Amino acid sequence: MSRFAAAIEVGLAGARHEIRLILTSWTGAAILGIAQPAVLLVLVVGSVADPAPAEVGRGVVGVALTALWSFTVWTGAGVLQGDRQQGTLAACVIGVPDLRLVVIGRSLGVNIFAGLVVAATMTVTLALLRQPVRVGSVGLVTLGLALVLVSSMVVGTCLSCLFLLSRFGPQISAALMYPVFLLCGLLTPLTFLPVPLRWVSDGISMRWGMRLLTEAMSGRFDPVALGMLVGLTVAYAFAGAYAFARVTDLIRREGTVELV
Amino acid sequence: MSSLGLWRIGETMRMGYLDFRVANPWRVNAVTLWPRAVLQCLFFTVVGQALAGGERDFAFVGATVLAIALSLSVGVASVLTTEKVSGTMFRTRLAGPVSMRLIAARAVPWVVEALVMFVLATVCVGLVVDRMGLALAILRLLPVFALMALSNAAAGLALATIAVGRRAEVLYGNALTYLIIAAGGVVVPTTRLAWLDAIGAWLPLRNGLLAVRGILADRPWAMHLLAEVGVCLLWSLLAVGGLAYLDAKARRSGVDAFE
Repeated sequence: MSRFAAAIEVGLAGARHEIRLILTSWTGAAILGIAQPAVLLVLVVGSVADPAPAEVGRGVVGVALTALWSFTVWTGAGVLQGDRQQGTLAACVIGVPDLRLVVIGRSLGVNIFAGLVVAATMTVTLALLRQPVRVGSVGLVTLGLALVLVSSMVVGTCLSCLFLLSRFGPQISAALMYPVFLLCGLLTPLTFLPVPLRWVSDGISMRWGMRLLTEAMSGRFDPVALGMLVGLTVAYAFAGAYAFARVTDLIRREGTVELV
Repeated sequence: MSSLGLWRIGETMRMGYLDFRVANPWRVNAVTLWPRAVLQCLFFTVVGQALAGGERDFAFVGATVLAIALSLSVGVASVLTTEKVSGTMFRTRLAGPVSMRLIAARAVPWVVEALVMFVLATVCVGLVVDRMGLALAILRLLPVFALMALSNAAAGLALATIAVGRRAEVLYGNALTYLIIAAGGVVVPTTRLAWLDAIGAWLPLRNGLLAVRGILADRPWAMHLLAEVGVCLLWSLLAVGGLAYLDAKARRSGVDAFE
């Protein structure tokens, strides 16, 4: 088997393992993938008698990305911390397969699962609300969703390394939710943000994913949003690689990170 | 109540506070949970304002109560789950049937924290959205919000008695929070789903919120407040009944939800 094929196999095994883990302790997934998107969709779309198609499109994209970000900070970011709690982190660090592949694969599993559950929840909720959704360009929306999922996967991998440095992961996850919702304008207008905070917003890939997908729902292509989304995802990947190298260094050489 | 009874309750509250502080150090809560309460309030205020026909003041008043729900729908369950995780319920039972008075006394720090977060969210978001006058008017109604906090804590504990044997306290608590957001008249008065609004009448916070809106707008409010008292009593009865059932089941059949 070539090294590339072996790497793919490790990544997919990680994804399968993570999906099984999520299904085993399914309550978190039910909250993030069912309760949250359903309620937000009822509020954003279901509280208005006859919303305009563009408003519906924007609301649907906003709710989907809100749910995806929640999955990233609550589940994707806690992958390695979960291993530490279960006592399997040390085995992962010294294992034969490259830990980076395992973590990327598991983050992929989180995002595949999140995408499927959130899509199903939103479909059922929109059916209950009897609310049709107009998709302007299926191709652009698919491309945008794929890029957003990749970006979330990379962010989840970065955060997963950082979360190993603290034992208060859940509290940090909680603190990361609403700032990103607000800074990315997922369900709120970006004009609400004070001017000094808008440059922070420009540095978050989800903000550009929101713009790309909202435009795609109306059938328009936004090259600036696409470029920023791809560029920021690449930058996050470099930051993640550095964070991973630093954390493994702290574990292996300096011994200052707890493994169990 | 005798002085011994008062001393016991005081000691129970002190133990509850120590339990709370170990799991939730102030410095961690101050930089993570409290900002979350503020940002959650801000988020839903802006969401409500951004909706077609949405009103900022309506959403702001409603979003302030989410700081209460944040702590008392989910967090308060840990009063019961700590017993389960620590394996200490059998020792508590040695003194006799576990009373809700004991559990309620240990839940006091959660109620206090919920009210602290409510005040913080109201002041901070009032400043950000330029509604300090409204924020101060809301804070003057603190006793009503304290009643709502009790009502929410009772609902949280009632659900915890059902959840503790299933390890589902996080799910049930969050489900309650999201139901309150969807059906509690928090951000918008009603939604297109009539059945959801019908459920809302039995949830904590909703009737109290209607009373608050009535007081602020100089409209009739007493019946709404009375309804919140009724909902609080109903959830308290469910919590007492749930705990008594778990206790009786453990003693008679040996099947203990806390093991």
